This record gives sequence, structure tokens and C-alpha cells, in this order.
Amino acid sequence: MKITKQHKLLVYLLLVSCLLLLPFTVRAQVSIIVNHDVAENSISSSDIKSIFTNKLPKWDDGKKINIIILEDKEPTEHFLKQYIHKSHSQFRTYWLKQVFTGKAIMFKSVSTHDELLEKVSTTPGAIGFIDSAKIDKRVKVVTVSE
Amino acid sequence: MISKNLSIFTFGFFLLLFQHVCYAYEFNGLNINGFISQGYLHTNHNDYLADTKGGTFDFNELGLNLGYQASDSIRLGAQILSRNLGVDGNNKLTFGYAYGDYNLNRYLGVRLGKVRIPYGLYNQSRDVDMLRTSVFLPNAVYHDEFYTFFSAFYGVSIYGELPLGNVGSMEYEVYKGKSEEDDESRLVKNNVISLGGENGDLTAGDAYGGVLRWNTPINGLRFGYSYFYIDAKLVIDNVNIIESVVFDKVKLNPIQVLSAEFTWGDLVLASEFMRFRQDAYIDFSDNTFVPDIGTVITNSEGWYVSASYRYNELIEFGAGYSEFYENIDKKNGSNYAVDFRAWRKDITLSTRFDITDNWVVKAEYHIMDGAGWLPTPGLYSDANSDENIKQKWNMIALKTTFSF
Repeated sequence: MKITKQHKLLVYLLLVSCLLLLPFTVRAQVSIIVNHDVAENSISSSDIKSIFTNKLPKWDDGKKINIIILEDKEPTEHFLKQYIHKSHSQFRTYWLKQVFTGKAIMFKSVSTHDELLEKVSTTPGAIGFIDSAKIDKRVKVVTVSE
Repeated sequence: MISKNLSIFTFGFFLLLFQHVCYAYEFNGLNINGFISQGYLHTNHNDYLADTKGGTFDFNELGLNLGYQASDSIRLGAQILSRNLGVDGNNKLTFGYAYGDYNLNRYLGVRLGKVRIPYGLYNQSRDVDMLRTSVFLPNAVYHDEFYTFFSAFYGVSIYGELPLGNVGSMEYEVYKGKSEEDDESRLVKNNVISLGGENGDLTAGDAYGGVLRWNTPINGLRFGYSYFYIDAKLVIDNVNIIESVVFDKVKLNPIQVLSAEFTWGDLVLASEFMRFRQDAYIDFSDNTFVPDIGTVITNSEGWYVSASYRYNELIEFGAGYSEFYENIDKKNGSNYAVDFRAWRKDITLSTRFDITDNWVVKAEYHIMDGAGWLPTPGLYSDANSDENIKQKWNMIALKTTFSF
């Protein structure tokens, strides 16, 4: 089959259409933050999964881990997919199951970045995750190891 | 007792009260969550789980969960539960669970009190409708007929999770205690009616067992094994001239379940296989003229495969197939007056709508073959008598749940 100018134009338009459909939103870099009373400076990715699925309820010094979640799809969705391997709805259902079978008390949730920083900084043993650009001195940032 | 009308009213009240996302309410460290459900069941033939032929609203749950973190290691929790499914529950207020939890570390914890039985993958959450796609858990494995025995026990359980390095982790829970007693349960009433007695008295005995769940290194893939033993005594009084029939030393000896679940993105695949042996020594109380029947042993079996898929934030779809056999030595029903009472096969199609984060509506259709373990004729109506019962039948289940 002969490739005509019309064919080339059609392919070009299709490529441009595909590019336009691609999401151009740049995903925020997510950091793990803790209360300053938490001794750990680094947490493995498997421990992050265990913490946020209620399988690791205490820090190494015996202090209760208190989870604080920002009620915001972004960066929550990104964090959950990367570390917990669950969608937002699966994560919520998982925690409701923990709560309604008596295995956990529901994590605390806040609605703004500032509330998140304030809650983590004032709750002993607290952990949360946040857009890296929003971090301030009220909280400690921990690194993630493999 | 909470009436059906009150239950529906309360549901409407909750809907009006909570129109926003809410994860829990907290008062001075006491965390409060709750749910309320109302369902409708309709079968074209046969009564199933309730007086379903022609339709019934006799299907609801209401739960209030209380949780309190007393220290870094000690948590107290209780669920005040009211449920109704046919003759079961009758909306009496009970504790779904009520226990203290001492967590030493990730490897070891102890629960003491009334604890949900960790049977299969989903038994501990069976009363909480919004945690699954379908209206009903597969009945071939999660028997509503034995709800009294399967729901919870009074005693102690030890639990934890052991890391297995490159091969994932192993969750475990072992327990020992005493099973639940409910003289008003369908289990008791079925026997009272089938024997023509007046009352039934169920005395709970030992309950013990355990569960292992292997979280494989493949994300979302897990396997489980459950072992569960209970014994009990059931006395049916005033059975004509023989005064009473005693099901002495009734043992579920044991119930075993193999489980597999794979979560891949928004798709969840699950399958479970259950087998249990029921031993019952049957005698006729003080009547010395009628010889005892002796020990009757029945081996039952059930399995299912299911899939659920979340299409978007609003809609989730589910489909499943299950088979149950009351006596695995007579799967073809050769020893039954009506052969299809030996099995029950169920094709289930489910749709779930998450109207808001707190409000779920479900619709489900069951295509049924067989009449294994249907309610005794007369418990609800005469639909399940040998003359009226049908092999092929269908059920529509509708349910809505509000939670906070």
C-alpha cells in the first residue's frame, strides 16, 4: 500500500491527539514525616507497608505508632500505590475492616497540610506522609530504605 | 427489641445526619464508629435464610463500635450489635465482640473476652456489609445456618505476624474458649420443628482452633488455612411420646478451610474450600423403651470462586459460583426423599454503588440449583415441603448500608 500525504497527516494528528491526552500533572514528591520523639531516622519500605496496614503497631522503643492521614487524593493515592499497593478505596475498606473487627482504632485524618504538620508534631509517636514541598521544622523527615 | 420500622427510621436519620466523609468520632479518647443496614430478599420458589418466597424485609444489621487505647500496649474494644435474618437475631442487642487486646510487639499479642472467630478469609467481618462487594458471603463456606457457632467465642486468642524474609510473612491466630449459645437461633428452631418438639435448649461447649495466613512475596497474593473445633449439647423437649430428643456431644470435628485471594489493582479474586465433619450422639432422654440412635456422622463440603472489580469510584461488580454438599458420601442425593436436597449450587451476580463514602447500595441476583440446608418446612412457610420445593430457583437481594 502506498503511503500518501493524507496518511502521514492522519498519523501526525493521531500522535498529537495522544500527547494532548497524556496527563501533564507532575506528581508531588512524597516524604514520610514523624514526630520528633520518634527515634528512627530511616524506615524500610516493607515496614512502611506494615505500619500503614496496622501490622506494625509500635516503634522499636515500645511507643504506640499513631497514623495521621491527609484527606486529599494527591499525594495519598500516590503514596498508597507506591508503598501499600492498594487503591484509595481498598485502603479505606481495609481500615474499616480493622476497625469493625476490633483490631484497630481508626487512624486520625486531617484536611489541610498545615493541620497534618501540626497533628504530627503534637501527637507522640505520630507518622504521616506529605508533599515534600510542604514540610517545615515542626516534624522530622525519615528516609526510606529498601 | 428494635422493630423493623424503627430500624428503617434510624437508617433515614443517620443519612440525614451525616452528609460528609467521616472516619470516626472521638470523645476523650473513646473512638466511635457505626453502621446500619437494611435489606430485602425475594425468591421465586423456596424459603432461603428467611421468609423469602414472595419477599421480606426481615434482614438488617446495626452495629456500634467502641474503641479505646488505654496505653501503648493495651486496647479495649466492643461492638454492640443488633441483627435480624429470618428467625436469627431478632434484633436483640448483643456484643458482636468485646475484648481487651494486649500487644507486646508485631510478633505477639493476646486478646481476652468475646472474640470473633478467625475462620476463612472473611468470617470476622461477616456482619459488616460495606466491607464487601456482595450482599452475602458465599453461603457454601460461610453458613448462616451455623451463625451461632461461627460468629464468636468467649476465651483467649494469641496472634501475631512472623516475617519470612524473601518469602513474605505468616500471620497466625490460635484460640480457645467457649462457643456462643442461642436457643432462638435457626439451628435450634429447625430441629424443634423437624422433630415436632416444643422447645430447644442449646448448651455450648469447647471451642478452639487457629488460622494461618501466608502473605506471599507477590503483592496481593495470600493463602490461608483455618482449623476450628466446637462441641455442644442440644435438647429438644416434649417430642410426642418420647419426651425429649438429646443431641448429646454434638461436635463440629473439625471444620477446615483452605483459602486463596489475589488482589491485582482493582480486581480481587478469591476461592475457598471448606470441609467439616459433624458428630452427634442421639438419645431419647430418660425413655428406656426407645433405644438410642447412637452417633451419627455427617461429612459436609463447600467451595466457591469469586471475582470483584471496582470499575470507578461509584460502581463495583462481582460474580461468584459456589457448591455445597450436605453429605459428601451421598452427593447425588440417593438417600434423600427429594434428591436435590443433597446440594445447593449458586451463581451470584452483584453490583455495588458507593453513593457517598458513607452510603452503599447493593443489588444481587442468585441463580440457584438444589435445596441443601434450606429452612425446615414450617419454620417460615410450607414452601420447602417435599410437595412444594423446587430444584431451580432464583433470589434477588437488595441492601443498603450507612456507616460512619
